[in-house]
Amino acid sequence: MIGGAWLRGWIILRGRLRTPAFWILLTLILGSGIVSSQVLMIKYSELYYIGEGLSLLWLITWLRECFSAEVDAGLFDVARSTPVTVGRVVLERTMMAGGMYLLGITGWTWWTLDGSPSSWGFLAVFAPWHIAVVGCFFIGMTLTGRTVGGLITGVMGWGLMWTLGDVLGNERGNILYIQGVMDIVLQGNDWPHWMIYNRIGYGIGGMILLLCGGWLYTLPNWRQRMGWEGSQENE
Amino acid sequence: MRMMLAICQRECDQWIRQVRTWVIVGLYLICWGWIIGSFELASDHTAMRGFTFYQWFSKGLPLLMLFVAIWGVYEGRKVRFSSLAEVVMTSPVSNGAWISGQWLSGQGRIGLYTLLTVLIQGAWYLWGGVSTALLATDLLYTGVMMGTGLMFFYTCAFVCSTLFRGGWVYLLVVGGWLLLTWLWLNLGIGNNLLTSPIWFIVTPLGMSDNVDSLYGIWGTGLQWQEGMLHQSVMLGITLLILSLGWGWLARIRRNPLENRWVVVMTLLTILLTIGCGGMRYSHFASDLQAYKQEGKVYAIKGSEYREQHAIDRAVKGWVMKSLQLTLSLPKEHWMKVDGKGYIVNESDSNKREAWVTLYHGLKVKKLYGKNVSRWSREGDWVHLQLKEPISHGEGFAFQLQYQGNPERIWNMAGRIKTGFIQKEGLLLRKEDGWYPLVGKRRLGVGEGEWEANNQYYVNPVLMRERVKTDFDVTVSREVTTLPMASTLPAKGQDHFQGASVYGVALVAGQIAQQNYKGVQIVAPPELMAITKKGIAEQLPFWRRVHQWLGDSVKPKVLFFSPIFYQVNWLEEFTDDGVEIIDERSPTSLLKEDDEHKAMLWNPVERIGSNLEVDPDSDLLKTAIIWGLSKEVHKQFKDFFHYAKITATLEDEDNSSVIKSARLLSDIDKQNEKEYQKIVRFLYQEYRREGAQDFSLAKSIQRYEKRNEEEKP
Repeated sequence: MIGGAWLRGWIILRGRLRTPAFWILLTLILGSGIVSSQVLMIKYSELYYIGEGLSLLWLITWLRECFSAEVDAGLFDVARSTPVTVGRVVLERTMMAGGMYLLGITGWTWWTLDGSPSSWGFLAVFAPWHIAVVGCFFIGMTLTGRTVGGLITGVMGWGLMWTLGDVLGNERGNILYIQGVMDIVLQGNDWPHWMIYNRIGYGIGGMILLLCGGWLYTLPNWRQRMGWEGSQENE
Repeated sequence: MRMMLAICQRECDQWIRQVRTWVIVGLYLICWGWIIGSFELASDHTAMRGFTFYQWFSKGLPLLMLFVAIWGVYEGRKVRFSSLAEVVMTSPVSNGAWISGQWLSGQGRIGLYTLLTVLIQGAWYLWGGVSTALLATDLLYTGVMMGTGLMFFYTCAFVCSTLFRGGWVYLLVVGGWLLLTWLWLNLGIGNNLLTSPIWFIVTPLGMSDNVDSLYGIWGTGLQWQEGMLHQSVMLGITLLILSLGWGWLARIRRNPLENRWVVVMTLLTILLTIGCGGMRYSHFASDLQAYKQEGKVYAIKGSEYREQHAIDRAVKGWVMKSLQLTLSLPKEHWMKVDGKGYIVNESDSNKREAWVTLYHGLKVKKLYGKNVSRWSREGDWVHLQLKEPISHGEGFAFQLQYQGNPERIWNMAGRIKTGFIQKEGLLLRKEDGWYPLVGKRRLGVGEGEWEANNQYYVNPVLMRERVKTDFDVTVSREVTTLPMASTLPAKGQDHFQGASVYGVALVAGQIAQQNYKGVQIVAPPELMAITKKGIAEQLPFWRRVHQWLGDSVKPKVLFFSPIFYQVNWLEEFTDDGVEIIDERSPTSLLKEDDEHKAMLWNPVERIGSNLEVDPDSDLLKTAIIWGLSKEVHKQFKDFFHYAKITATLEDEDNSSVIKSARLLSDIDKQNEKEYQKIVRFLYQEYRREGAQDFSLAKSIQRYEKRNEEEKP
């Protein structure tokens, strides 16, 4: 069943892969990934920018890219009339975006850190917050019916944490900015309780947002059901 | 044109009718409401509305730029992909008019958001009783900064999305935003080749470093010219992107855009950009040119300065004992001074010549004295030759008259400007060399990690003197009627008199001078209350330090510098001098815990560079913090544990500093009073020997010896 979704996904992706601009962009970003990872070998403080800044924008712009064919062009409505389940298409697109995300900056970062206990530590620090931002994306996309809505809510979640982080203190999402956290992760020390609760909280919260957004989208005509009219404007 | 305006009107009309527009406006208002509300309701209300507004504004502006960029792509794609565009093809509306109308409507909306922000700021300031001068300056600044910054990003994104088909334009635009903001925010870091004057010209004003300082104490005129010029450059670049994108790239990509007027427009915007950019560049470089003509380097690096400074302080020479200045400010950018000074020889040898530093822009008219035979100028330095040699402890008197303009621009945004005399404000720092400083001094000293080619953007640093000078400064001014304050105590209207280790700085603007519990506060009126609160909070601590170490750390003057100063650890004035606090840290006086207080007011200086600190004085500093702070005691199990983490102790058992640290730790565990006694003794030894010659191990030996002698 999932094969059908993959096939159409591949056709769309192949269309993307055929444009030279796409390859130029991908090369540039992978190049910057390599450069950043080289910088990381000397300067771990760059992880703030990459792990909790750059890679999140990279992730949500890819999510938008992978969902744009179905959501913006209304292909989901067509999919509903075929034996392919919408939920599986959503899952498949998310995986596709995740793949591109891993190929990009974040993948290179982990690759460089590989071999040290801290690489898994950083993964554990980043993942819950990344999941939460993906959740923001899904909610935004579902509510507005456009991928750009998801992009904006994703950026909003990311940006609000960037600006409000200091106010939230230990409850912030991008905890690497908190003094001492970098040392704890780099040296592979035991996490204090607040860090564990923070990460679990963001992980669970993010998953709830993600599943809500994704599940809502799988319902046929949910916007009409809720009394919301779908916009006639397409991107 | 008429059609373009009609399209714009239609778009704006639609925009106003949409529910989502008002949802976004509501969210924006809620954000500001939350910021303003939490500030006004806070119990430790600091009355720093301007500071708080810009703190959030500078955080939020880059984010707003990103939203606007995404929005620009969306709008551009909406034009391209909506079925309406196909209908337009068959109508008399041209593609050019259609797209330009869309773009213009976007600009209109950006203008409305900017206006909304300015209104929020204005309402808040008015309600909070902020002065009218500050209100006008800040509103102008916010308006131009936000307007052009957002316009630039929206235009770039809109043009990209009309030129390129793929959805990857979103990636491109987000990536471009990331790259530009990263570059703008990191301009001053490391050996970045992009820190060239040309690059500064294309930076939105708000992204420049240290711009949002308390410049508001001066009027709009001081920033109008520079600010508007800068924004014109940004506007020119934006229009250039638009005309190049639609005029040339669109043609190459066979995008059916109307481009009859594009060649003219492109040429015009190129001229505008180059013209404004050139003027802006010339402003940056004018001071550099002036110095180059005289064959002098304008600014030197902080590291070189430190070396120079160390030499200056090690060699004992001439000192200025007294200085009487009559300063006349008849018009803008002009000063005239009559001065009388007395210089004393503190070196061990007899001297027949002396050097005095006076900014080269000030021309000496007369210089004479009983013992002065000749004088000559060498850039900023004045060389005095004496008739009779002067021995140790003796001095000579001199009188001089000079006039000129000591103004300098330090920073690319034109906002770090010193030595200026204008109707709307005045700032004469001691470091501007507006009065004679004894010795060969470097007036162009700046601090920061900067390359040689752009040293003229560095932040000015503070200069320190070794001894007190008795000053008497009288000012007669016609140029401005604004209140005037100084680092010296005020004796009357525009008359300042007193002894100071730091020297004299004069500021006129929205600034006040008050004496509070023996401390002269020089600060903008809105900071006065928080400063008093801060002093009240620091007083018990100052008293404790005095009891414990036998030395006062209470400053005579608290001077809130209206420009950003780079205060490095060599240049802090805690001992019987002036405490210069840069405009961002009035709250540093309100730090609650003793650890921060002990760090802020520690009378021991750190000798050496950041990497190689002198371990003796560093350990003494740490020992004082340990003794004064309860918080540190709670966090660390013993003194040695704390010293190992904070002080630079070598990890060798035979190191004398390690041994001293162990010894202090043992004494502290056994007897707290004994620990206090030994640290007080060590501190007094440090004061007696000087920071450079102080040795912890030898001082401890002396302490033990003295104790043994006292026992029988």
